[in-house]
Amino acid sequence: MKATPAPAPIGLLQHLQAGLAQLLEVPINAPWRLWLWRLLVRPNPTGTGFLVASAAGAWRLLGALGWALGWLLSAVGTLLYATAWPIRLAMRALDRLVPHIHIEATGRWANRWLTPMLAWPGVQWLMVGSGALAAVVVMTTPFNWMGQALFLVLVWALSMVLRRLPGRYPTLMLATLSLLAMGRYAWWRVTASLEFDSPMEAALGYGLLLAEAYTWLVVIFGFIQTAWPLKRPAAALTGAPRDWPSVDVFIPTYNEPLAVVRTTVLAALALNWPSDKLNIFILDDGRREEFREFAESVGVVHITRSDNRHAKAGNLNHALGLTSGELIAIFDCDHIPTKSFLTRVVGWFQRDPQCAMVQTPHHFFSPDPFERNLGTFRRVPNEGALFYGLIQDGNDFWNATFFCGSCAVIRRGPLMEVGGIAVETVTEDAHTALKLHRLGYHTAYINHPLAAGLATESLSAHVGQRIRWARGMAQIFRTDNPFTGPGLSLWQRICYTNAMLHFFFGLPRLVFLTAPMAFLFFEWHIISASAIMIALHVMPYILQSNIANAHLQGKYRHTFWAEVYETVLAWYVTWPTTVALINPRIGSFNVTAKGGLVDEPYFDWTISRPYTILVLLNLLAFGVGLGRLFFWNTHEPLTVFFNLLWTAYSVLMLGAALGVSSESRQVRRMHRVSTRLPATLMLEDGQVLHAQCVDFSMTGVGLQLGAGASLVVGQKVHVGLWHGRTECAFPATIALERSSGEVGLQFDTLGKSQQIDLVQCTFARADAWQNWSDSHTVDRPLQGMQEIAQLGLRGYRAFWKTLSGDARQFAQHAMKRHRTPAR
Amino acid sequence: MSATTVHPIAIVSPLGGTGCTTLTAHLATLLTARGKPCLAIDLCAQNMLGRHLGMQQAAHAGWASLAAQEQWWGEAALRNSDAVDLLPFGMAGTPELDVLQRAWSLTPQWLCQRLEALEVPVGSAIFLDTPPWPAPLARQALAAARTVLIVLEASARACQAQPLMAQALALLPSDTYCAIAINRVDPRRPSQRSALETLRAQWGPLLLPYAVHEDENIAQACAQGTSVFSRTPHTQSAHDLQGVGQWLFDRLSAPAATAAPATTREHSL
Repeated sequence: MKATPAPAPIGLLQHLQAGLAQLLEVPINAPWRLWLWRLLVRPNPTGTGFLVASAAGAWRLLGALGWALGWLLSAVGTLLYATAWPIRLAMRALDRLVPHIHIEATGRWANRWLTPMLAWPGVQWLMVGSGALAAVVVMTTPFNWMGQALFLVLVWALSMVLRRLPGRYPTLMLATLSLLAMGRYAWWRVTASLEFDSPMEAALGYGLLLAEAYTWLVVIFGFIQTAWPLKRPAAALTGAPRDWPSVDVFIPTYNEPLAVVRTTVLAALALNWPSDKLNIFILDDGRREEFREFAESVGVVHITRSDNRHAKAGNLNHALGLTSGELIAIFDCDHIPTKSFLTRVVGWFQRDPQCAMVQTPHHFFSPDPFERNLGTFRRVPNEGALFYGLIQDGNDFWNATFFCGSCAVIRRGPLMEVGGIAVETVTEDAHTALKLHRLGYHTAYINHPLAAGLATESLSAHVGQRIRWARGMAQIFRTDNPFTGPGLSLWQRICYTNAMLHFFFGLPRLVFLTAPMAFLFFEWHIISASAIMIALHVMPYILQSNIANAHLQGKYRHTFWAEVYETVLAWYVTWPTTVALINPRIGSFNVTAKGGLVDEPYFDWTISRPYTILVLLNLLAFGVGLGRLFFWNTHEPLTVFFNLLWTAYSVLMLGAALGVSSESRQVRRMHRVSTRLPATLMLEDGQVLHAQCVDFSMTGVGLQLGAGASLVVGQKVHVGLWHGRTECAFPATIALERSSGEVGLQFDTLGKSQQIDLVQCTFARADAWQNWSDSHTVDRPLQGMQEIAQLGLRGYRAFWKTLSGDARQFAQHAMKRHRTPAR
Repeated sequence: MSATTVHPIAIVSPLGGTGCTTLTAHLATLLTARGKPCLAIDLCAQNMLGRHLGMQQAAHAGWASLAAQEQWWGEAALRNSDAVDLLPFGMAGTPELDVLQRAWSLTPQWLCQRLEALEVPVGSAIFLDTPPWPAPLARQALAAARTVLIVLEASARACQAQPLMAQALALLPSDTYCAIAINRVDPRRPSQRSALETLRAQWGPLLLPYAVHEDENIAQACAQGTSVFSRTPHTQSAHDLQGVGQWLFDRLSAPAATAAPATTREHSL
């Protein structure tokens, strides 16, 4: 086709052509190639040149492609939603079945008949044995595709009913179903999918199997670990206060600023405990004069030592030698205890003379980098929520609660018996607890946040901390293996081993992120089975474990989010854990930086570099896969499709990981804790206004006032806050005033007693962190998936923006260099 | 009037200037707004309750002179725009007061009899704003009341008045309910904070959880003949008074409040 001038009768067409020519800025008689070209490339009036114009064209083309892709995705989503209609129908029908099950009556009946039966000698083992036998039969019976599909549907239907039933036994049944589905998959994987054509395929295939076997092991151990969360209540103190044990509070610090440490010390001073039985020590490895003066002014002891051997563990051990309290409470210098900490924790030491350690959760009132960069703070349970919400509670049932370094109380006697805090590994806390358990002591976990602190500020610091944990756990695994050493029960061994195995997730995760590439790039079949059979075996496994996890852990961990966390950390923990496994002595302790500030949004290239490579590889593999789907491998479309799906999932997770690397800005130096507390605002003219405190820190508060208050910035006021029934007034200045009634206040200089009052009214309130997790939304796996997809897209956008920005800079730089000699 | 259809509430203080009258006016206003018919009787010769309930100047005619002349005291009743009924003390001359003083000391049932003869809607709350304890009318009000609200401030003299008040409460009939409100609290003042702690130790659970803040807006509202609820509802004093009002409302709405108070009072003695 050539755009020649049209004959007169077709005037309309000519008109259109003229209009188009004007729009695209081409001469009306230009060759058709130019027309097409102009569709993509805008003419540049300044004449920057061909390169820029074509880049802009490519940019527009990419935009169009992106739009089309988005449209396609939403269309697919709608289609999926429509085809899922029978599933939703079935789910509703199964939900209607639930009220017909009389769980209480059944429970009573079972209790009446089963309890006496179980009391007979041997019956328990007989039941466990027959149950195990049945499970083995279920897991090892081979099915054809029809049978396996039926298995999938039946197990799913059963779990849909079970998940609606209250109580722990339905939960256990759900978990058992997921283990059965996993067992079937594992059995099938080992027996029917490992016939390879080439040594390369065999090597990769067995590698993948090993990675999967690791996850199976962790799932089984995790199931045992969390089967029966103890939910231990706080034990009441007995006897008169003069008979209570004496407590030394250790606050180790190295390089944290006084502003951070001060709050913790003031809160420790406010602890509810007989003052003659409470001694507070600042263990200052930084040996700072400023700290000594502060300690003197508030009446606590400042301990220093001449060297910094063994870092925090050495610091604590040094102080152990100088003190004599019966119990030792340890708080990291940024973990602020509430005043009821000791009265709620110490009771267990009185009740159980063998109790050597009581741990409480580490609670953070500021978002960690994941929460900040993904915008999930207080909405989605964070990384620690699963550990402190469920795993430690589960450990407690098996008497395997770990010491976590802070927010815990240890009895001096047993601690000295194991030689103080362990110094052989970089996770001295878990190792110390292991040693205590080996001697037969008990530990306890109270799942009430009784202290709170700042989360790590930047992603690199966060990753650094996790690397340390992973390295330390691997060190313990090598030097003092909990599975083989003396003194532990089988269950304690499993709990400890799982805690350590958990940190070896790096390599398997990387295997999963790259596995489909073997086929997409090289056509290696690393699972030798038909795509249909793989799908039919994998689906019940994944489906059931997600259903069981959502039911068991939904409160503490949302489906898919853990995948994002692990994806980010995978690369970084792989190497340290491997090194520590080979030689546990390599590696040094690094302090977690806290109290810093991300003052400019930026993209953390150093952290995200490995993911950038993985993303590019995955995208390339996806592209190649599309080629295979349509052109090269049309004889096995399902296999290609399966691998494409896997790659798409990886791309999504990597996108979210990139999103985490895009650091968003923090505004305040002192993190303000959002809250809802009653407050008063006292003006100088004698008026007292009712207010609600919406956030607080040691330097200021935010108040929400009712209508009708007229305040000006700079006005001097007093803020009233309560602890218990005592109202304390703090002098402050209005720093910010909004028409919505929100007022920001900056405290004036507060005296020592006022600072203690302030800590008591805010951080140290007994109920300060009680209902923190109420704002967590319910786990909805599909919604979570959607959200992660959106985050992934946002991550890619940030990534692309940074990439194109850098490219532009580079191009400008190059052009400048190119032009300078010409002038 | 029978004893069960109305609910006399005595607002008593062993000290002057603790804000009994303010509290009476605000509680009556609040309860009326919540649909409880209220009559506030000013038993103080200062005659200030009328001002707090919206009168531009102190009431000239009041029940005191009527009663001194052996006339029916209810004739002096007024009603304000918030529908609170008021029986002002009025401006009584010294001879009239002498007559009354004599009558009060001769007849301990003087107030009780007159209260019983009042014709008020069924379920009414009758607020008795009393002169400082142990004035005769304050003692009579205490005897006539089913609920006694003692008003204190956070000061050394309030702490010192504890034995006096405890004696008075010991003489109350067993079905009288009593509570203690602390008024005019200023948390900026350290002396008040220690006094509050002492009062808490002295009175324990009898203390209402709402301490009413000292607030310039109360004085301003009084000067304008209105309440802080309508003038400055966003102030802390309005909030605190609402708390006390809610407590009283719950108390009045409780079907049979006879068993509980005996135990709470024992604690204080």
